[in-house]
Amino acid sequence: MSEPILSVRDLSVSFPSEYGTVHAVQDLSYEVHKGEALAIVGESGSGKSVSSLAVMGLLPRTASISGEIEMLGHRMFELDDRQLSRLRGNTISMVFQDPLSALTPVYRVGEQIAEVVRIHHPETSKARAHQRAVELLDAVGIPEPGRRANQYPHEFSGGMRQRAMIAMAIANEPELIIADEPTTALDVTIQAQVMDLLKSAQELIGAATVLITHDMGVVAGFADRVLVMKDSRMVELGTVDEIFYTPREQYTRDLLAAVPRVDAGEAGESRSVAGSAMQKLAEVVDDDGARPPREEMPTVLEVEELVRVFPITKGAIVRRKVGEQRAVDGISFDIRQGECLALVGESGSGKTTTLMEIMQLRTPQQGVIRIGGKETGALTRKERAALRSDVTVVFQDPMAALDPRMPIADIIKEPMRVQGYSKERMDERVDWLLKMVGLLPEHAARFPTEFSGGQRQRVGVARALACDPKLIILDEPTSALDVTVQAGVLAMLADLRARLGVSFLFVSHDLSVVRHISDRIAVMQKGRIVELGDTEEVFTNPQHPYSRELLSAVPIPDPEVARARRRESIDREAFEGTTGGFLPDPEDAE
Amino acid sequence: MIRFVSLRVLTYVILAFVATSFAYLLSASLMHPEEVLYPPIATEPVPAATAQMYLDVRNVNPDTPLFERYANWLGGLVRGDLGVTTGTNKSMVPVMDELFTRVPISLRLVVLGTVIGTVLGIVLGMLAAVRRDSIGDRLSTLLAFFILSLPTPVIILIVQQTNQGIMDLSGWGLPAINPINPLLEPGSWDSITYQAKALIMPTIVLAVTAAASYSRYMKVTTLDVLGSDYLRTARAKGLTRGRAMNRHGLRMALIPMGQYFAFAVGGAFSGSLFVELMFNWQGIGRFAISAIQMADVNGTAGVVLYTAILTLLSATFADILQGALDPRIR
Repeated sequence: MSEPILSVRDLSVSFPSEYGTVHAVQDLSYEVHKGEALAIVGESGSGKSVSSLAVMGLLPRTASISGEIEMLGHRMFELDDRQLSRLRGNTISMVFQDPLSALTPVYRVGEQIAEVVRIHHPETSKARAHQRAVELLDAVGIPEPGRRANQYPHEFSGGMRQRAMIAMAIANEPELIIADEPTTALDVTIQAQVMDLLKSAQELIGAATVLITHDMGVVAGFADRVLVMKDSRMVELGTVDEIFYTPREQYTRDLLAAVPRVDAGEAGESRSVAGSAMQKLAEVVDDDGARPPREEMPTVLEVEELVRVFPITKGAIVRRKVGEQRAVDGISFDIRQGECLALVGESGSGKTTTLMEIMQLRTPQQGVIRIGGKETGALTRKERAALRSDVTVVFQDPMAALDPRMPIADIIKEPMRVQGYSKERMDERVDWLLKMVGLLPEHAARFPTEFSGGQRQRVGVARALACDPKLIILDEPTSALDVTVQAGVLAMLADLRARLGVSFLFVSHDLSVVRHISDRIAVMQKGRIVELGDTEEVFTNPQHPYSRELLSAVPIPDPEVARARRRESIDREAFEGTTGGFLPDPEDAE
Repeated sequence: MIRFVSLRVLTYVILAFVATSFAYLLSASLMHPEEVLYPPIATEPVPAATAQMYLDVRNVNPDTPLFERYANWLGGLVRGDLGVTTGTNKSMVPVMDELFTRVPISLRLVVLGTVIGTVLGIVLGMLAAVRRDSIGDRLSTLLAFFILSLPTPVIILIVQQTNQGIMDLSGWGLPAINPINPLLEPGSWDSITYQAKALIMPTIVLAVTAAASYSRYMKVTTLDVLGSDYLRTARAKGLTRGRAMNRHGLRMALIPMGQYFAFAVGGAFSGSLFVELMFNWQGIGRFAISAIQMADVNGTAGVVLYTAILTLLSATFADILQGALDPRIR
């Protein structure tokens, strides 16, 4: 193996905080070689992002750092801000997580890309730098790059912004690209494109890459070597095949086991450890075996030709309608008792609007919603209030969905109090509910902040269960959770369904998550349900092209499978530009 | 951009009209100039027709319905005539003339004070945020809270007394009161330097109060910007801390400041009331107070019209500034 371009030795980073010193990274050592892709994987709080910011020298001033980072002979901790800034953007560049906030909103995208060229090559003329920005945008697959370069970040979609970030990162042909969760904020189809682009960009300029992610699926198709982190320390470092096929450490094994897989149907054929915990979940779901066919079960929720249109208005004084957004455009589905229907779609597909329409319990703009056979439009005020206990919801963000100033017993009691339960009955039920969701009755007096994310989501489920609902709407219940925690919450949900016979409407953007828990899947796109069918059928034999696209975009946590799926996506010719290569700069042309 | 600004200006013109109308109706219905027009010591009763004419020419006849007087006043407004002073001021000076002589005196105070105050506040606030927890940050925070907690007259007294103390010690100081020295020949070099010197203390008072509140706002918005992802991106591109702040951070931090600026002029106007009183300036602020005191309906409405226009002009300026800074709202 060639000389390492980056070596990190015994890196420790700590921050002072109200609760004493927080050790974000401890004794981390690794090397990155030329042209290599290293993935640093870990759950939230494992210190993976902090370690990469330390490499860039971008940690806040309050951080205390020890150890050594050497980059191409530069000892990073011995350089001052001015010397470091000569390396940043030129020798090391970085792609950040949230492309929405990572670009300055008040400058044109082209200007921001041109800026990175001109910072390190001040002799470049403004016009030449702009031309270069257009070439780079073209290279990363932005259509009409000339026009797009003159647009502002808010006129770009999330995927396009991340492409622009990548263009910025490769502009000066750096030796090392650090990508910090580059696709976490993106839809799955966009994620696949961006990861492919990043990989081919890396190969094109021959840079080494450090990919920081929590998503094992993304790692499989991208990395050469994998470093697993947990609680600020390194757990395991190995080649991607070693980590996925023969992990040495128990934590790596657990992490992989919790990863949901879309290709679980043919799991026996894969050598990867990934997804084994989810297989067990599937067994729980299938175990309840002899259920009567769904046609014989009573219908809990029926939605017929639901339409919700938002007008788009313009004008400051006189508002006039200039168009309309058909958020939900004539969808129909039904949920039987004890059934789990998954509503899957990317952002903007109308999932949340559908939920809101159902939860409102009012007459929709068009169409009919029936709950337990009753039309929501025909309800009296009293009936509507009573029906609120039959349809409950678990929200996406467990931090935001619980009142931080209420002990969880009160949080769980609140819906029961509204429905007029007696005090004794409420106390009894709180104990029982806490046990049902895998918490202890002693926890009742604690406040939400004393719980971890997964536990909080369990409290949210307990609250939803409080009044024996017929239907629970799960709005992305696990997308804010770490993957190992997600597996636990999913298992609990599957268990609840089997034991209590409650129906779920499970809304998710992630097909692999709903794979094991749902009976049927509805795929939404642009306000319409493009495919609705049994889970197995949709997964093994998707009918609609969009379902196929979604399925093929989900990363597969198996290196062999993932490598086979990669496609070339950077435009080499555009990157080399009109001057045939990068800016003529004698010092850089080695 | 032009569309955006013209729409805003149109909204503001409507707002100014509503505010002034409201002020006229309020003062016309609450003030009773007819009661102070005739001193009780009048020896002979005034003929009824004369009295009516006396009231009509000032447009304050209580026998004329309120809305007819309002319509008369509006008619005058369209012609650029704001009526004449009424109340105990019986000289019948056109309000327009009164405003024209007084506005230049007040305006130089308000404009200078606001501009110096905002610039100072922005610079101090940004430095305090960038050097957070340094001695400079702590001192400027302490000083800002000290100034904010003092009533304006107290600040004026402190400034005046400091000047007096320096004058006692060194024999040289700024003129204590009056914007102009009537003994000097108007237009002469001495007169101009006297005016400039007389401007210094009042401007210090207004600038310091504006800067104190501004530096607070600016510190908060700058701290937001310092924690933002785009600033981190800018540094990852290879800009040093200072250059990243100047190129990317400053502009973003100034965007929310634009809205504060719109109201700063209004604040400076009310600050100038005290300043004009305590430095004995014959400006708009003094006129406003005396107009209210002597039941001058037309004068009060005229002053409100002036402040409405002033505030809305600064709001328009703030909008243009914001539009220039932030492409998203164009």
